[in-house]
Order: sequence, then C-alpha cells, then structure tokens
Amino acid sequence: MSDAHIKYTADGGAHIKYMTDGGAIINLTIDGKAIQAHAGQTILEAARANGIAIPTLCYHPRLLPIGSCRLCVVEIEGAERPMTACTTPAQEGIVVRTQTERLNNMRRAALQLILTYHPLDCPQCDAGGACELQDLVVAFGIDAQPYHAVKKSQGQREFATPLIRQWPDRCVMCLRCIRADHEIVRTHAIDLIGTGIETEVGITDRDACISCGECLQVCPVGALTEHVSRVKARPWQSQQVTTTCFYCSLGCQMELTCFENTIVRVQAPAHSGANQGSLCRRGIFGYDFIHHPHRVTAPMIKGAGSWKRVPWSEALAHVAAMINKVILESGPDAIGGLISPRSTNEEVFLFQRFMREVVGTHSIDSTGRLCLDPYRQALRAVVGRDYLPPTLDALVQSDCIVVAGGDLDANNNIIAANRVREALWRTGARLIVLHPWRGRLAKEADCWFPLLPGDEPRWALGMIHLLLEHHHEALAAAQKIKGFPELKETTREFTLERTAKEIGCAPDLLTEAAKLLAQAKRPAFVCSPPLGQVHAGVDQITALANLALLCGALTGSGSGGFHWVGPQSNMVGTIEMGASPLVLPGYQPADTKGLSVVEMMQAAATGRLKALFIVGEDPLITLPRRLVEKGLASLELLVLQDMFLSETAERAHVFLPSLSFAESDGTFTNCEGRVQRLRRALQPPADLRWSGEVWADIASFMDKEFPLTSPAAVFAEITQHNPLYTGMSFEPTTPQWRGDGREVPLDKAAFTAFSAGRGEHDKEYPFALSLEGIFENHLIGSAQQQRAKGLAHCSQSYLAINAEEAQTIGLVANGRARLITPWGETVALIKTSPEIRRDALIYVLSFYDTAASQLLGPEFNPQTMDPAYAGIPARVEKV
Amino acid sequence: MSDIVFSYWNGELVDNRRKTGQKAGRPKRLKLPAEFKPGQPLAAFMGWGGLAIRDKKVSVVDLCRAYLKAIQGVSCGKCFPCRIGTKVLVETLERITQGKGRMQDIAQLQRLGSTIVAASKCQVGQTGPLPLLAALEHFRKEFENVIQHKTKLPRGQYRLKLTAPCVNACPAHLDIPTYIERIAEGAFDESLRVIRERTCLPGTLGRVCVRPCESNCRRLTVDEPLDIRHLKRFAADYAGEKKKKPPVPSLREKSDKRVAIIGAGPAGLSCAYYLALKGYPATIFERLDEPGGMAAVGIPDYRLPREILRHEADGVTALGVEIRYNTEIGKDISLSTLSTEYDAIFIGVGAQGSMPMQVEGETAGYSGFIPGVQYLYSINKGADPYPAGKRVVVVGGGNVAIDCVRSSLRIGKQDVSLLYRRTRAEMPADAVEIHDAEEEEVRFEYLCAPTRIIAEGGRVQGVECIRMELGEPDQSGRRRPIPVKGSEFVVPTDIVIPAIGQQVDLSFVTEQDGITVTKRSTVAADEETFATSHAAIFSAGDSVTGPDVLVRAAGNARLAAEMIDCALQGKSVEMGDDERLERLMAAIGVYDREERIGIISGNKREQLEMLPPETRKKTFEEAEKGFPVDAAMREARRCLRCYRIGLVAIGK
Repeated sequence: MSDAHIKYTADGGAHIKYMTDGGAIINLTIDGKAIQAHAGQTILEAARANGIAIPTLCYHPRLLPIGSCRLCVVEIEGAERPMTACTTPAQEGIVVRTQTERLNNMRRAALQLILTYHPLDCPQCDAGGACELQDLVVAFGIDAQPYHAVKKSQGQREFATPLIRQWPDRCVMCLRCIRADHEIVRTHAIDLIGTGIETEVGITDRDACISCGECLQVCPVGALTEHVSRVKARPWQSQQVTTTCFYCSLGCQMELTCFENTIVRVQAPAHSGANQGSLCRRGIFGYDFIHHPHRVTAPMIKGAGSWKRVPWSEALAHVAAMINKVILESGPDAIGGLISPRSTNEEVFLFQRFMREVVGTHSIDSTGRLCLDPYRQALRAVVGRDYLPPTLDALVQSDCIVVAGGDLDANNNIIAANRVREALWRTGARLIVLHPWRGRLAKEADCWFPLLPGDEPRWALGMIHLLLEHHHEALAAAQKIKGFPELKETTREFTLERTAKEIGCAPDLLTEAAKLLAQAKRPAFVCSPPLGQVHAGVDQITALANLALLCGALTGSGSGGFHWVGPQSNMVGTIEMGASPLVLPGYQPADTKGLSVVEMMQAAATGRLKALFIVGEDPLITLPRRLVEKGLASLELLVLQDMFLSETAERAHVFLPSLSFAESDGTFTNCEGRVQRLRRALQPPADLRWSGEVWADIASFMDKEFPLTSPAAVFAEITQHNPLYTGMSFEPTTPQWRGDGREVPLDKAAFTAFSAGRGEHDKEYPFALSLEGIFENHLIGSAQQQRAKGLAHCSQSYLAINAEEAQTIGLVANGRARLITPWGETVALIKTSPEIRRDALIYVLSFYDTAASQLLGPEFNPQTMDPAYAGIPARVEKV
Repeated sequence: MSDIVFSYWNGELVDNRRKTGQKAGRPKRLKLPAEFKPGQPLAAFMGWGGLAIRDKKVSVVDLCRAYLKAIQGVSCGKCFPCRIGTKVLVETLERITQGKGRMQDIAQLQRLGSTIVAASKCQVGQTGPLPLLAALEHFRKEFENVIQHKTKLPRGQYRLKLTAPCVNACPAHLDIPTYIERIAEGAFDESLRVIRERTCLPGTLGRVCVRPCESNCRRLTVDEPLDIRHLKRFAADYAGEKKKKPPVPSLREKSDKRVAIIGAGPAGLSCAYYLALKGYPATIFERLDEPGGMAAVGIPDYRLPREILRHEADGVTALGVEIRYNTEIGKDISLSTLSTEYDAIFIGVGAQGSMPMQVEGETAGYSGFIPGVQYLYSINKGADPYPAGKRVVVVGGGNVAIDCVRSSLRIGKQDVSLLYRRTRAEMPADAVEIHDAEEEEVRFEYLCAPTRIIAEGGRVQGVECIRMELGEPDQSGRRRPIPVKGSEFVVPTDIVIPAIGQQVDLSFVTEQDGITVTKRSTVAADEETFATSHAAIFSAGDSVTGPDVLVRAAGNARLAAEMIDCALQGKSVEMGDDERLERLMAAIGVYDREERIGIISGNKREQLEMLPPETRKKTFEEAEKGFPVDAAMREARRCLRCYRIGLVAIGK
C-alpha cells in the first residue's frame, strides 16, 4: 500500500523498474569498480546506473530484454562463457568485466555479421546520422567485413499501416518493433516470420494495427520510416522542440522535428510525461493539418453571405464596436463566451478575464467542463474536497483496476489503456471492465460487465452489497467513514440475485469481481466520458466513487486512485482557469452565476443572448444540433476564433484566425494535474497573432484596460491569482503538478447518496446509444476540407452493433445503416461484433464527424448542464 | 561388433578408419542403433555432440552441409551469429559441394564456426557448428579433396530431428522451450496454443504431472531446473481467468468414419481431441458421471480442482466430440456391439481397481476397510466414505496413499497414519507431496507392513503390523523389505485403506472380442502402433501399461490417434518418423548431466505461494497458488533454450 517502491527519477516522473522494485541492495564489481545494485536489476542496468558503458542494439529500456544482439556480452568470473549483461541478473559478489579482448572480438564479429546483409544506402536512409548501427560501426572502427553472402534486395513496402514504410533489408533484427507492439500496445499486428536468414518482421494482422507508431519510435535504424511528411532532414539540419500534445487530456510529451518551418516528424522523449515514450496515432501522425492549405491566415468579416479578408485593426475594431453596442443595448449578460479546452491555461485565463472584466459577464463556458464536471462534482462530494488522482505511473502499481465509461482504445486514449495493460501483465493486476462492448481492453479483463449506460450505479450497489456481506473483514477501515451505516442500509436490498437480474449479467461474475476488489491491496479506477454524461451523470460517478472509497482506492498515500481521462488536452486546466459560469479560477466561488453553454444557446434562441464569442469550439457538432442551430441563427454577433472554417464558422459574422499548438507558447494541465509546457516550434504564418494580443486589442478598441502580456507573464499572473498554481514555474526543470487534492483524509470523506434509477426503453427505440469521442474535433478543421494525410488515416467513425442484431435488421458489416433517435438521424458505417450487448449501440466518433450532434436530445443534467451523450434511445434501420 | 568407422561425441574420439576389424574401438558415449527403421540402415549421425560414421560411403562434407542447412532452418533468426553466421556457413558449404570451393574456405569455416559457437544466444547456434568443427579437424583431407578436385557431391538422404532434453524426456513431447519463451515474451495465449498442439490437458498436467522434463532440464546442472509444470499451469490458468475459450485449431474435413472411445480419462480425452482435429469427432463412453477418469477419481480437489478437468473436457467436446456419461461398456453396451457400430475403437480405461494386500481379513467385507481409489472417489463426490470412523490407517507409499491421508484430514479425520514397508527415501510418491503431508502432520510409520485386519462385529478395530528391515536391492533397484520375526504390533484404527497399487479392470473384454489380454490384466498392444490383436481396436494409457503417469497416457493416446487415423484411411499402421527419431534421440541421450555449461549459477527458481498447512489441511481448496504474471515471466526467462538438432544419414 505504499509508494516506497516507486522511484521518482530526476525528471520527477515515477519510473518503474519491474524487476527491481524493493530489491535488497547487493554489491558487485564491474571493471574493477565496486558498485551497488538492487536485487533483480540486470548487470546492464547496474552498469549503466553507475556510468559504465556497455554497447547494445536490441536492448530498449521500455522493453523486456532478449539478449539477441550479443553486443552486451560481459565476462563474469566463474563463468566460462561470456553472458549477456541485459538478461543476466546482478548477483551479490560477482566480478564482471565489460572490456576485454575476447569481448571486443565477439562484438566486432556480431557487427560484421550484421553488416554482411545490411545495405549501404545510408545516404538516402531517413535514419542517416541518427542511426544506432552507424554509431556502433564507428565506435568499433569497423572498416571492412570478411563475410560474403548472397543478398536479395527487397526495397521498401507498406508496413501494417500506410503511415509507416518498411525497409526489410535495413532491419537489424533487434525485434524492438515487435516487442513494442506485443509488450506496450499488445496489438500483435506484427511478428517474426520464418526461420534462419529468411526470418523477417512480418505483418501478421493488419487489421489489428492501430497506427500508434510505437514500432517506428523504437527502431534503431531506418528499417521503419515515417510516411506522413514528404520532407525529411538530417538531424543537424533540423530543430527539435519538446512540447505537449494538444489532443487528449493525457498531455503526452512530444518532440517535434522541424525543418524549414515545417514539422517533419514527431517522437516522444523517453521517460517524460504520462506517456513515458509512447504516443497514439493522433499524436505521432496527426500533425499535418497545421500545414493544410485551407488554414485561414487573415481575419475575415462576413458581408452579403461571403467572407471578406480584412486587416486585423478593421476586424477587431468591428468586434469591439459590436460588443459595445450589445452591452449598451442589452447589458453585458447578453454576451457569452465559449472557449475550447484545447486552449492554453494562459489563453483561458485571459479570456475569462476578458469576459468577466472587459465585457462584464460570468457567462463563459467550455465543453471541457461538460466532460469534467460530473466527475469533479461527484468526487468532491465523496472525498470532501477537490480531488486530484495519483499519477498514471502509480496506476501501474495497482493490483486491481476498474475501467468504466468510454472504450479507452476506441477513443484514442491509448496511452491510458497501455498503462492499464502494463499493470495487467507486468505486475499481474486484475481487471474489471464495464462497457457494453468487449473491446481490446475488455478482452484482457478478468471480469467484463456488458452494462448499458446508466446501469453503473446498480452495479456498484450490488458490488458494495457483496463486499459488505462476504468481505467485510477486508474493509474494516471503511467502516469508520461517514455515511457507512446509510450505505449499508441502501445496499441491503441489492442482493446478488437482484443485481445480476437487473443489470443482466451472471451472478458468478459479480461474485468474482467482488472477490478481486476485496483482495486488492491497491485498487484503482480509470474512467472516461461518456460516463457521467447521462441524465443522472453525477450519480453514476458518485456510485463508482463510493465503491472506490469502500475498497480503499481513494484514501491513503498509496491508493490507486480514481482517474479521469478526457478527450481534450486542457480539459482540467480550462476549468481551473475559470472557463466556467459557476466558478472563478482555482474553483473560487463566483458571486453571481453566468450562463452555461447550453443556457447560452437557449437564451440566444429566445433573444436574451445577443452575442457569442467562440474560441476554438465547434458547438454545432458537439452539442444538440437543433438547439445550437436555433441559438446561433438568432445571434446579432458571432465571433469565431479558429484555425479553419469549421461548421460553426458558417454561422459566424467575424472570423479571427488562430495559432496552432505548434506555434503557441503556454501551458496545459493534464488529467493527472501535471502542468506542462507548450513550446513554439514553428513561426506562425505571417500576420497571425496570439489570442492574448487579439483580446487586448479588442479591449483597447472598446476603451477598456486590458494589459498586453506574454504567455510567460500571464502564467506568472496565474500563479498569483489561482491558489492551485501557487509557486509554479513557466520553465520548470522537473515536472510540476498543480497543488492540492492528492491527500484524501478519511475524516473528510463520506459515502454519498446517489440515485440508481434508469429509464425504461421505449419500444420504438429499443437500443441504448452511446456517443464516444464526440469532443475530439476542435481546431483541426471542418468536415468539408480535404483531409491531411496523417489525420485522415485516424478518422473513421463507425457504429458498433451486435452481429446477430445487425443480421436481424439486415445490416452487413462495413455497410451503412440509418441511426435514428427521437431527435434526429444520420447514416453511419457499421461494425459488428458478437461481443456487444444486444440492446446497446456504440457510435465511435472520430475527427470531422458532424452528424452525430443531431442525435442528441434537448434534456440536460441540471447539476452539470450536460446533454446526454450516452443512454440515448435509438433504433437502426437499413439505408 | 562395432561397425562404427568414426565417432566423435562429447569429446570422445573413436577413429577406426585405419584400423583392422579386430582392433576397432567402440564408442562408449554414443550408441547408435543399426537401423533407423526396418530396411533403412543408419549410415551416419550428426548432432550437437559431434558425429559418427558407420558407412564409409557417407560424404562427411555433404553431411556437414545438410546439418548446417538444418541449423539454418531451425534458427529462430533473432541473434546474428546464428541467423547470419550459419547462413554464411551453409552458402560456403553449398559452394564446396557443388565443386566451387576454395581452399581458404576451410579456414573461414573454422573461424566463423567458432565465432558462432561462442557468440550465439541459445543452444542452436552454440552447438550447431560444433560437428562441423569436429569434421574439419578430423576429415580435413576429405574437404581438401573435394575442393581440389572440384567434386560435385551427390546429396545424401537425411532425416532431421529437433528436440531438447526436456522435450525428449516428456512422454507427450511438448515443445517446452517454445511455450516457455512465449511466456517470457508475454504472449500467454500463444504459449497455450503451443502447449495444446501436444496436449489438451494443460491445466491438469500443469498441476499434477510428474514432470520428467524437470529432471532433464539443463538448468538443473547450473542451479535449479525450471518450474516447467507450473509454467504450463500458468498459461492454462491465464486463459481461464481472462475467460478465453480454448482456441479451436483448424480441423480437417469431417470424415464419415466413426470412432468409439472407452473412458473419458486422460487417455480417452487426448485420443478424442486429436482424432477430432483429424476429422473424427469420436464418441466417448464413460462409466462415471463426469470426465477425468483416474484424474477425477484418484486425485483430490486440493491438487486438481474438478472444474479444471471439466473445462478441459469442454475443450474436447467443443470440437464435436460426444461424451456419454454413466455408460459402462460390458454392462450398458457390450464391446462387440461397439465393434459392429464403429469403424475403430480406442480403449483408454484407467487402473481403477485396487491391488490386494494379501493379508488376513481383507476380503471379509469389514466396515471400515475401503480400497484407496474407492475412498478418494467417494470423497471427491463429496461424501465421507465412513463417517463412523475417526482414525485412519493408509497402507502404501505412492501418490494415491498420500492423497488418501491428506484427504482424510480434510474430511475431518482426527488421527491419520500412513504405513510404508520401506523408508521415506524409497517412497515412490512425489517428494513434494510427502513434504506437504508431513507439514500437515500426517503420522508416517516406516518399515512396517500389515499382516492382519482386526475387526469386531464386522467393523475394523485395528491393523496388525510387522516391522521390516531393508535387505538387498530388488529388481526395482530399491532395497527389499524383510519382515523382522516376532515384531508384530497392533495399530488401533477405525478405517484401513489399502493403497499399494492399482490394476486395470478388463472384465468388459470377452474372449470373442479378439483382444489379447496380458497376465497383468492389461491390453496387449503394440508399443509402437498401439494396435491390439484386433485390427480396428487400439489402446493406450493405463489399460496397456498398468498404473502409470498421466502424461504418458496422454502422450501415447495422441500417438494412438495418429495410428487410428492411418488405419481408417487404409494406410499402413506404423510409427511416424517423428516419434521414431524422438526415441532415437532418447537412445543417444539428449541430456548430459556432466556437461560444463559455463554460465554462473544463482538464478534460482521462483517459489509458488501455498496455503499454510494449518489452513489447507481443513479445506479442499487448491493448496498451491499458480504463478502471478510477473513471477511466471521471470521464471520463463531462466530457460536456456537447449534445442538439440540431430541428423540421421540413411544408407542404401
């Protein structure tokens, strides 16, 4: 239950050594130097930790060692044969030599054998100058090789994804790509094929490939090359800039390689951020939209139905005049602001100041709040304060993990899913998955519960009942927590039989899951939208949080925690910077309440709201479409700030072009509370300006005070005004987390009542539909534009349906079907699986999808003003 | 009788090339049979320890080429010395045998061969070039002649075998190094798939196998053998925990031939599984109401939970096999009826009858006198066989005896003793089992044997025993116990359980069935083809061997399935080359305990978690926990991957 065996490395991230944790200290000698190691550490790890260099090629710190390249051989006293340092555990008292004539000869021979088959196309190889084989050949001074063999040239070919090319001749059989595929993502899309010299890295399951680029990142040579950017550059010609990914809330650290003001490659720096060297397909390949020809590079004002490019001064003066007019005629509360959770902390902080101080309204909101608020409110009630989960690194130490909400894999939260996988098979954690579809993660689960959205509270009640009935001795600590007697009373009637019947699962499965949770010393919960985005969303999460509190996942310093993974990079920061009608920066209470985004649309439709300033959001495709259409159509002024002409742009009056994440400086706060830098890697197109300057100019045209500052200065201001960010640095040398919330004292926590009801199905709409991934589109362009190659590959939406149901309806896999809800309909691509609950539909949305918002109903959760994105009544018909 | 011309094996050199017949030396370390199979003389052999030539016409150069080509073919391709090095060797040797060799090739072969041996990752590369190096040393002239005269050598006829010490020792020949490597890589499903190629009982063997593989593990020479058994259990359990159904391999097209199998024990299930893969979904006739046979009857739940056997039987029935429970052959349906209704029959009945102790009172029908297997079966069905009795004496030293004492504790018997006529050292039961029983405080009485059952009013009251002492070794190599005259004593008890051995009940076989039965009451079946004296009836497992280990029954039943397939297809029924080669390798000796392996010791095996004796002796819950994921992977990484490649040259 303690954090003791997680070692925090120099960069502050918890770097976990699976074989070494908690190991006793042992003494050994390497090259005459007495050193210490942890029991279980390999000789290579011990040597490198003590600055002793041993050459390697197949070794990769993130992968299990295989001892194949034979370069790390060392001599150990008492052993006749040299042994590989990467696979041999360090032992007490052993004497190791890493540099001897014999070893040198063996290493040279191994390299010479590699070179027997390696092509000499270094000048045209992408890896030239950044190649581990080149480095080794230089280091060993190999200028000739004695062996000759018949070479067959295979040229290049498409790898498991069109975004990567494979050059089999260049492969050095380190198997890093295969191991990364098998060990980190566990997709098994590629494997070793053949024997002897015919052995090669082959594609065994192309459909399994998720284009995560993990293989590409670990390739030490140019056997796998990136196929998005047409431009390539040698390392000495390009610049590397480390920044934070702008897609989802994990805030992966990435290194952009730029050449002539163009991104030519993206990689993940090792041991950094929540991603620890991994990226998903969006992060690694989805950068080329930045250079898309449709990008808008000048301000525009709409006149007579068409856009007219105007100078900044004209556009901003126009906006200022219009805002002033609305304030004068209808008061400041007739104006609303909406800002994308992909904006930086600095932008959000400035924008809310602009809205609150310059315009004078609290009507500012963000869709990030719609994703985060149900979680925030539920956890706040249960733990008694604002809650910040432990890091995802700590998740890897959990021994039982409950995953609920969206499918982490389908929604491109691969990094979170991978961390769960890491816990599963490296430390043997048990897994419980609640999702109507048995997706990739659920297939690795000990217990998969195919719940309909909204059934989670009853599942939790049943689990609590079972835990209290059969495992109460394991839950002794929880009995002292406030609300325990009430909880016991509430769950009394949720017997095994009743729960099993109501949620439609086998009683044995519930019993087993309860046993797993009771036995767990370090349980953890990983949840994501659309959990919480049903009509009783806060109750849903409260139910799971009660269970988490009962089994010890929330309290105590070593607890596994209740993690929340969201779809947008700055979901957390956006709310913490005050993009909320309910709270000021740092969750400080506001004296009056503004309008939420939903209320703004309602108010616009009735004429109470006249003007809307939207930064990076595209409400037409993320909020109930009919409501938004009606609202936007009634506005006197719609100012839109975006990189591209989005769907919403069609309704806008003024368009202000904005910077891409690669052109921005600032910070994001990720889902763990990590506050991380965005760094400017590219010079923005001529005349493009940072939002802060834009708003300052508008303010000055409005004759209002609004200081023009830099992102760094704004951050400094944040640290002054936002208590969660006190003392933070804009240029930190170690990772920094926003303060507060990780310690959950037992006396503040309380079991919290929740409702477990769920509406019955309407006969006309026999399915319960969930929309997953609806918030992923901001700032990357509209559906109409021709897609950039990298992103295009990542964007295919589909409707998942039970195979038998599909057959009954007459649908075929990969065909199309009409999806109908009481509020709208759309045509969707069909994916079928036998392992989907028969009365469930999952509409997995990816970039550029617009039609899904028509399916959303007008009802909202009064606690969070969230529309329902799950549990929507629906039916499917043949097209 | 030595007809060996030349032999070099594990350092032993016998060179008769220039000697006359009388003085010819005989290799001691390598004993080659004269024939590979009838009519196919064994002309030469090349393997990990060297080479032997019997027929002078064999070209050593071409033998080397063929051997290195075989090495290249089995090289996993992961490490460069083996992957590329052996490829360069093969290309060079190909060139030489085509008459295009160069003199400097010899030095190159020697240099590269030594490099590969020194630098390769596993035994394929570490031993692959060794016979070549020996040939270059002892047959240099032959190489030089071929090169000098640009001789184009004809290709010899060879048979290749890939095995490993562990694989060879396993009666079912599971591909142990591969399934262990898959676990080390984290590919647990793939590991299970490899296991299931050779057995459909991974969860069972993973728990109760006597694991001959582990005593043939090369790691034993270094420090401790791998826990091969529990790694297999891990692969099976992992799939179970993740609710994965056994993978269904591709089946051959369904045949219209019908096969009946008698007994749903390890042999019957295994035979059915592999027959089903070949397109014959057989019908199994089972006397009891559940699958597992002796494994279900004779092995208590704390060692092998019932669900495991049921799950494995499900994996068999998933392929279309039908199990007819509660159907006893000879009672509900006769063997002759089966013969007429089915095209082939497999007899796979276990040794479920108890051997008599030959002591006074054992046939008197006393209450409290219960044969071991019957006692265990009744407990396994959830009943206390004799609730009135509290004190238990078990007679015997095998696993069944241990199962009886440990099960007795678990049904609440107070005073449990085991009588064995020799000492602990001679006990045939698994040492681990004995240790666990001692921990559970079973009383062991060594060097004593029962002489008389004492009863009153038809109820057992005690057993009269006599002290024994150990004399000269008998046929089994164990010292023979001799009674000490006048040392009789009485052990008071309510229950006496004889567990000195089992026998097969073949009462269902009648004379008209045309099946020869041995004096030991076993089916007389050919040890290579498993054919009985009736052409359409095959048998393997305990019914042929008498009481034997589970893994042999399972392994032989798989081979029997192959033979049944041959018979049904009208092909000649003879042992396949693969099994023949495996036996040849066994004769040569795949594991050399004296070998100097040359790596440091100290990488000890992972320890399994076990319920503490005080807890486990009260429950039938499984005593041993399986490996957690991380421990399984660590344990798997200890494997040295000792593949052995043997090449047999067939003479004319």
